[in-house]
Amino acid sequence: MKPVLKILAIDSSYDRITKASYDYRNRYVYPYLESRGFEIIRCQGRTARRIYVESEVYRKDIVYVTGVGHGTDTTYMGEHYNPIFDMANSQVEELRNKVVHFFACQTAAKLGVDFVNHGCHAYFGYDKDFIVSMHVSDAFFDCDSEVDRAFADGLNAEEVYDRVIAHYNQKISELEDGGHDEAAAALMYNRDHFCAPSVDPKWGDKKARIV
Amino acid sequence: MANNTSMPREDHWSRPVAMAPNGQWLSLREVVEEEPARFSFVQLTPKQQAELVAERIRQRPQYDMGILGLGILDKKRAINEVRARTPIGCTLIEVEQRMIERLIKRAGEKKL
Repeated sequence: MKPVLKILAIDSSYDRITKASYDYRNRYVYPYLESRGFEIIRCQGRTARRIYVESEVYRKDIVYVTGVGHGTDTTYMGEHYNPIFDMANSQVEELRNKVVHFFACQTAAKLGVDFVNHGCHAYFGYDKDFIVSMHVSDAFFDCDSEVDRAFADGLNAEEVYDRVIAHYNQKISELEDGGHDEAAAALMYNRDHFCAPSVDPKWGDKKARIV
Repeated sequence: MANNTSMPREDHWSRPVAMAPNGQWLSLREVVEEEPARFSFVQLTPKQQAELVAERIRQRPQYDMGILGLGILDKKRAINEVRARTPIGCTLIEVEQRMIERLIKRAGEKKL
């Protein structure tokens, strides 16, 4: 019998936007990943803190790390800005041989590159702020979480990127058709700052997959 | 989309998208219907771009943009960030630039 592959979910929920995304991910994303045979190890809300993450992240059976939180170009943060991964205090081995996707601002600019330089197979994220139009926020969460669904479906990083961009374009078109032009423009901005191995090899291997 | 809540449909036609040679803002309607001489968004200085975006936000009936991890911006904060051209303000300017380009294109194609 094949061992169950595990996904580490690090989700903060300390303000209105992260809480809305946290709820969305728990309602729509993680059940989907579980339906594809993955076990979810959750560091969420009050446990989205470095002390709880570091006891899990070294496990060899974790193939994928994902989450929502605040980010800067050098740091991914959990609950109330607790630094989870910080270039200044990086533990070289902890993300080796894993794929990482953070729904956060700016982390692709430096942190994601640093992960890859230390053995992470692929990094997916954004190199600028992620902006959300709150009255249609689910469309924004839906576009980003297509990364998680596509990896769980067995696609490689290149195929994941193509599927996510197509999903962004479909949602942008739907928002424009519905008269949500500003939200559509914000989604375009996020799409244009979405980073992955297909954009540049500094974000990893286009052939990386988690199954 | 589960949370596709109703927002008043915006009056894109009356909001500024460019600047006339005399420094007056030109609305989308004026640009599309009259094809006046103008400075388009990309021809404006960064300060003028910020002023144009601030004015567009000011004329908006509601504003509900947020930055992931930082929170939701009210209209006053958004205008101040844009005018000061802070990193948040520059993000809002970039979003608005895309919106203006799309609105002019779609209006020209009679899809607005």
